[in-house]
This record gives sequence, C-alpha cells and structure tokens, in this order.
Amino acid sequence: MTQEHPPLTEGVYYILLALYEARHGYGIMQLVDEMSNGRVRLGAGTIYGAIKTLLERGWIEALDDDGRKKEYIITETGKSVVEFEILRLRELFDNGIRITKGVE
Amino acid sequence: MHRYRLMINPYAIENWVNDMACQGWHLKKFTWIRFTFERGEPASYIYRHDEMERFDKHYEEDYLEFLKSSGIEQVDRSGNFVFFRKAAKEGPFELYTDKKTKIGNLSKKMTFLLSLILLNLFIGIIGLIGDFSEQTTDWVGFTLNMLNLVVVILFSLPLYKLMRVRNRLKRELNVFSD
Repeated sequence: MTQEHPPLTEGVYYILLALYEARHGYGIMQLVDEMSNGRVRLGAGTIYGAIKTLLERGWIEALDDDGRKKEYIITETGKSVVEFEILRLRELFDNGIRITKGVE
Repeated sequence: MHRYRLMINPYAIENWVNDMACQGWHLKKFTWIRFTFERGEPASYIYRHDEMERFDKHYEEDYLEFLKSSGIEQVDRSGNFVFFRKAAKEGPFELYTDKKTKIGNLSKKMTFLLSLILLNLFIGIIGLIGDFSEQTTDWVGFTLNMLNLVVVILFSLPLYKLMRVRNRLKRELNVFSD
C-alpha cells in the first residue's frame, strides 16, 4: 500500500501500546492477552521478531540492561505512529458505524 | 525409547512429537534421524520446534534467553533445530502467531529442500548419462545415481506439502491483515 502511514498489524499495535510503560517480552505478552480478553495471544517468537524490527525502526528502545531480562519502552517516534494508527482506526470505525447505522 | 524418523518436514515431525506426548511419551533428545522419548504424564506438555539463524550467535543467545523468561523450556538442540516445550496447563503454546513470519519460515525450509532436490537431480541425471556412456555399464555408479533420484522423490512430497501450507497462508493474507 502506498500510504504515508500504512496500517499496523494488530500485534505491532498492541506491542507498542504495551510499551507506553517499560516492559520485558513476557510482560508484553501478558498485557496484550489481558487487554484483548485473551483474543490476541502473541507467540514468543513473533514478539521477539517484532521487537527486533521495532528497535531497528527506532519506534521502541531497550532500557539499560541491568538484569537478564531486557526491558523496552516506546520512543516519541513510536508514539506518533500509534497516534496516526488511532486516527486511521477512528476513520474505519466512524465509516463503519455511519453506513451500517451502528451495531447493537 | 528410541524412534527413527527422517527430519525432512519439521512440521510433520512436530505433530508426531505432540502425538507421542499425548500418549505419554515425551521427547528428550533428538538428532535429524533418531528421537529419544521418556515416559511421562500424557498430554502434560505442548512441543514446538524452531530453527535458529545461522551465524548469528548474539541474536540466538538473546532469543533463547527471551524464550526462557517466557516460561518456555528448551528440550534439546540438534544443529540449527531446537525443540521447546511448555506445560499444557498454562494454555495454548505457539512460537509464531503471525502469518508473515510463518510464511518466511516455510520459505526458508522450502528453499533448503528445493536446493537438495535440484542438486540430487542434477548429480543423478549427469551421473546416469555417464554410467551408460562407456562400453561396460558402471553398476556401482548406477546404484549411487539411482539413490540420488530416490532422494529427489523422497523430498518432493514434503516440499509439495510445505508449498500448499504456504499458499493457503498467502491466500488468507489477501483478506486478513494477519
């Protein structure tokens, strides 16, 4: 897609949200599970791959590695990506509700 | 207990290892052909395999540490192949839940199988032509080159199966984002 801000995958969106507070991988997994009431269960391999990509893009950063469990936190760039995504989701949501006249 | 299987299609092996676990036989050690099981409580663990990146020691250590901190236990490793397990009572266990990584992993395995198939096909056919080009047929060479062709046939079915799985995932990606 040739959009300035292409849609995020559900996994990436939730990982970014989870990292508004510093968390390690397992913490991300648990929070995402909780936020989505068990609907989104991310595999450890998938989270690890996503973390690597997000670090490369500068959307998240690793905190100083004191223990064996590395913690990550979202960056300002990451936050602006999430904000654009929320706008996009709102557009999808508003159009959906407008045309279907809402769901009960 | 030892069982022998060729690790050509790791997904099929994974299913088999999980079937064995359901019957109370838990994977303990493995090589590309020999699998050692020990008796345990039936269906108490879910097993998953993964393939490590070649030549990236740092990434690998970090990844394994990450899995460990997620409560995932490493069963055994043979070359780049690793088997992991997690207690079944802790809920469903998958390493990869996104289709793009699954497709990427499948592609890597398919490339590996395809290169083995092409290599054996090439050596087999060139060899067979050579075996019959002399006045007396080279029967030893003939046997070896027929083995090359057996490998081609043996590896083609798993390749086809992996390809079908990958195509199905790709078709789903046309409609679903993940």
